[in-house]
Amino acid sequence: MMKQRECCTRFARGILFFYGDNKMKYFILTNNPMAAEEFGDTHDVRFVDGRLIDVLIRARDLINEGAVLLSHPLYGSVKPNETPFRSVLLQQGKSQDGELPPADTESVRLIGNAVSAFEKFIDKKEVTDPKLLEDFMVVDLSLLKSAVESADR
Amino acid sequence: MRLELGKINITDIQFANESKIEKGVLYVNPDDLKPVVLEDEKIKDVVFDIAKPGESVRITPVKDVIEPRVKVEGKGGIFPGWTSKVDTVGSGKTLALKGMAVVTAGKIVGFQEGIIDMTGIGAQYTPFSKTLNLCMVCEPVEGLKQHDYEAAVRKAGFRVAAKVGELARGIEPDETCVYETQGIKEGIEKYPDLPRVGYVSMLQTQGLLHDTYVYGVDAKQIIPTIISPTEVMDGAIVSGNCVSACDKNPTYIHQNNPVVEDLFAQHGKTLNFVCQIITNENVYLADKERSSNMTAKLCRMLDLDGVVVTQEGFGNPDTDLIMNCKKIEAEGVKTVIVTDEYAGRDGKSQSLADADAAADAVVTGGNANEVIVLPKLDKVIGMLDYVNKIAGASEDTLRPDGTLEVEIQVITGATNEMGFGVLSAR
Repeated sequence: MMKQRECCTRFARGILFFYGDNKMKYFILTNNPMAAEEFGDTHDVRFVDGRLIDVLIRARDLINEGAVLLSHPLYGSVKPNETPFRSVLLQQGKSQDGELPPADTESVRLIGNAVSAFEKFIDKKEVTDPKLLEDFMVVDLSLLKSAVESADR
Repeated sequence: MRLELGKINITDIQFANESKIEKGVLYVNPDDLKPVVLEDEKIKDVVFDIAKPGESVRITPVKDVIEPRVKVEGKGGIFPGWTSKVDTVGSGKTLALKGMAVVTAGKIVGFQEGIIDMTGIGAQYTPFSKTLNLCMVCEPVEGLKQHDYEAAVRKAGFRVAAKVGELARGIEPDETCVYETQGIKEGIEKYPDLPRVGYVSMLQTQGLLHDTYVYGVDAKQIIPTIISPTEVMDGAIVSGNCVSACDKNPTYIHQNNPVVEDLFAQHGKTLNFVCQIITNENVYLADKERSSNMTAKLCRMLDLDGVVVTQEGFGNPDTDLIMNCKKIEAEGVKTVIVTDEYAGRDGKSQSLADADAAADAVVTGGNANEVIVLPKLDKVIGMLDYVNKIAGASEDTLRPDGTLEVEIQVITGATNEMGFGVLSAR
């Protein structure tokens, strides 16, 4: 099974190489362990060991360094103070002559709105119930998958 | 397209040995409905209950609300793609059971929202405290995954609503309303001096618990298209949306869309209601760009003068709403957008997660962060086990005296973004 997965990954990378810049290269920023497990072997996953707001702030830092948002940071109707998990698709910015690329204004606007939206929800106690945590991971993963399916099309 | 909608007023629901409708009373034998639910092997058991306006009853967590209907003339059947084949519906004659609803409940995920109180202050916030509710609480088989459970309960609700709707076949309606839209050329010739108005209906399409279906198709896969509002009355659009109780659009609200009702009421008088345009609210930003581009293009190609745009949900859909508004306005078509607000408990925060100067005509369904205290009620249909975990609640939600301190976002339909709610500044 593992061999088959490695083979698929290698095949996918081959396709990526073949299509070069025409194929979207992106990475997944997430604090959802289930998302990291699901996409770890096939995609570039950058795990954030922290809370939902830490994912948004890390995304904001990366956007300031030239990364471009590919998915909406406020996805899902599960409110940001409710779910502990968030995953974001980002495209790496290309450096120009060793300089950081200019920040994408639309990405800056969206991530700024997302951080502001998070701050207006009251802080709730940390979720510890394992079943509840699993449900939150499953929903975050489902929303992420719908973005990945669009990105990989 | 021309649809006659016959309305049969239901004044009471009772359990009985024989399922039938007689003198406005719906008699239901749960043994007739149970096999309809259990034909899906993913559902282990179902319990039916009845909740009536004014009773000390709380229904939670509500998944969907559906109005039973039956198609008696014209192509196709109710809920095409689910309980009927995919013939194009929206023409002929349909009978609807008014004053009642089928309410599906079940804990698909631990944080699922949706409260319908049949009495007290909570009842004032939900339109479904005024309907006689035939409730069905579904229990899944052991180990069923969340995706499968959601699909099973969703589809069981349509089957039960269709089965109950069948009881109306052959009954003379108390009232009949006729809804008719014209073809483009015919409409222009018939109403040359009236503004051409469309309705852009944004459908929730983000993933598990956040989906909507059109003729059985997952709407995140569609590109925006036009549809006759009468098709929607026949169940062409159904909800698979479980969260954001206050501003999700249950199937019932698609069937009884108040924007469509109001536009039809003015059709041929002050405006020419041309059609409904459906679009989605995907999470991938390029999908948003494509869909809003297409929606704006359709508005232009249809030579519309104005559109009403309604959204579903909060956050991510705010961006779709503003993209649609900006691009449609840029085509020279006036917009009015209908939304709700998450303005914080004090109402002082930014209401939407996105904004633009083009959005200069906005109707709000209310502030979802508004706090109320729901009284302890005598009976719960469903379960309260996770009520502290849902959005708009906190660890202190369930008080020792049994009352609940919550934001109104937990209440089904409280700030509905099609204007189906009851909040008003008047």
